[in-house]
Amino acid sequence: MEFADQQLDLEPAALMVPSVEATERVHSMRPAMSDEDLEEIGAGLNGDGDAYARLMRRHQPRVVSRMWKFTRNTADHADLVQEVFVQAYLGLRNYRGDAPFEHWLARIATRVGYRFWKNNARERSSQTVPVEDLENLLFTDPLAVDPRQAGGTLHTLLDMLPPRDRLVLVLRYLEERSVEETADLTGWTQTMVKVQSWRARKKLRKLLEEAGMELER
Amino acid sequence: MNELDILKKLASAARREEVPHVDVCQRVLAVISAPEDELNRCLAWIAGLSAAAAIPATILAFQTLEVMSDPLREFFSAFGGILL
Repeated sequence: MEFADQQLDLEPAALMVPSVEATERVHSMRPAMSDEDLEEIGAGLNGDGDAYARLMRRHQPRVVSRMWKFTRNTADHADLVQEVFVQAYLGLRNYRGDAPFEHWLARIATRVGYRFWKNNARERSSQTVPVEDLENLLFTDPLAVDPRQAGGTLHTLLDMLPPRDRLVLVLRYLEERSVEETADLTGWTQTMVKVQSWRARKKLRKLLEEAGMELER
Repeated sequence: MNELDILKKLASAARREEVPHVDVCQRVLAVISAPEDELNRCLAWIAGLSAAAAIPATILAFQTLEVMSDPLREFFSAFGGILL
């Protein structure tokens, strides 16, 4: 079964033009968002760069953390974080306030990260499963495992999967998102998330077995 | 241990990782304040070039239409061969 990339491949929203209507709409939003976000989005819509900078600074740590799951190259990482906030600014006028700003930003971040993987999919080197690192990590006490090493090994391992499989595994198991949250972030249906997750696990299992690892059922 | 256990164990350790510090605010502000002018300039160029291409095409289209819609065109074209 093939799933369309519709939701994740959406083009960036049209360039924002500050308007009175847009500002009024932002002020009439449901209370799903914080007052600070509300004020700064309104001011940002009217071209107040400082307000948008404050909004960015408040949400930046989460975006920085999220985008680190998409790349471990520091230059690409900074570019991805920047891209998320540029896309958010360009689409700010379309933000309806149905969900907190943070959730909306998470959807943009997912889309930007996924597109980054897709664009770099061809450049993926013919890596091999880091079996030695993996076995060392797996037989170490969980609290003694070096997080950076674990992150690096996980990244290398997931990098061998196609972007869709990788995305669903990152969201479900690294970010510990529920099926519902994953569906919301990707724009897929919940059934699609479950099927994609099952397929991704199957591919991961095959990779590990082909690398010589013996796995339980 | 199966693939899910491996994934979960790695993920649980990876979640404790300290992410590099990044501050892109200045970069973002520079991008969002600059492209509007650039975009407008690009759009103006596209509009100008489109207009430049459209004017001769419109004139040509009107001339062709005028020739094609002439009620005596068929009459003269039928006699054209005989006269020659």
